[in-house]
Amino acid sequence: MRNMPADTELERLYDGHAQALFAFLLNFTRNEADTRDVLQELFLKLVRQPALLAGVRDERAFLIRLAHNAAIDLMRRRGARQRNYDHLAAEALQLFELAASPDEQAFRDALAAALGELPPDQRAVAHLKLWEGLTFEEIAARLGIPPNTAASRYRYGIDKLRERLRPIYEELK
Amino acid sequence: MNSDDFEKKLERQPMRAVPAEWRAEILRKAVAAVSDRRSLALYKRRSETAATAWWRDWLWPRPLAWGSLAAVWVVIAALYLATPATPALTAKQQTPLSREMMQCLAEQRREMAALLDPAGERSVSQQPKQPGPRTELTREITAT
Repeated sequence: MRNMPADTELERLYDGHAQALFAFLLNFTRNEADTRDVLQELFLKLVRQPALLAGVRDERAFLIRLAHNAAIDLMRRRGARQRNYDHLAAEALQLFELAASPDEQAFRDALAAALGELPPDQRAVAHLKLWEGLTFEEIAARLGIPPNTAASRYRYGIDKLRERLRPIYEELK
Repeated sequence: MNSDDFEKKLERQPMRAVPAEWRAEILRKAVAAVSDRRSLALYKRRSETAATAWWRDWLWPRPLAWGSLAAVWVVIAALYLATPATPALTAKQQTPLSREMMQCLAEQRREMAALLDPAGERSVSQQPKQPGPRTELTREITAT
């Protein structure tokens, strides 16, 4: 990749990766304003440090990792004071597209709420596995954790989701 | 509940799309940040140029006057450096007298004292009498 992200280069990066970054960040932070802040911060960083993407083979992987680190920093900065507010906000979070049928919408709402109950570490791994289709090795590389840790976090997370969603899932089957 | 089916159902749930209005704003702010940095660099360059231009404008119209002033300062500095140090400073800078010289001076002083006052020579050479033991003192008192 080029040294200086010019306007068109930034547009290309945004068009190519913003959707994936948005979904990951929204699921991870559970807060739309935070998602926007982190996404903005990410693109400012790309512009201020033009050599950041030089020699990077997998842009998406690199950007997901940057986004993950930035989101963790943001959550640490906010501290415990905001946690109650975040919990309330998470209940009204629209994580998925609106469904055509009420049943499907109910499932999506339940899934969004269930994801919100997972610890952020498990949520990040579950998101990358389910909605980015990555292997545990790839997830491990993006999050900076061992592959075994990624796998175990996924198992714990998916088991909790299954337990939580079992009634509505069985009903819709 | 089949594990694969459940995970596949989750995968099929479409994530919400990034709000369309974010694109323009995020890119605009990013580009503005670059423009700000470029503007700052340009401003700094211009400021430096302006400062040097001011000095040039100020000095250039009167080169003879500034040159003469500089020459006067050079002469003053040269005179200051050429002037010998003050006596007080010289005295401080001298090395202390050697032991032989001190002895020589003391000898001369004694000789002078002997010439001027022969009785004084004895007083100079005589050491003050040290008090003896207490028994001698008792003996002296009883003798008197």
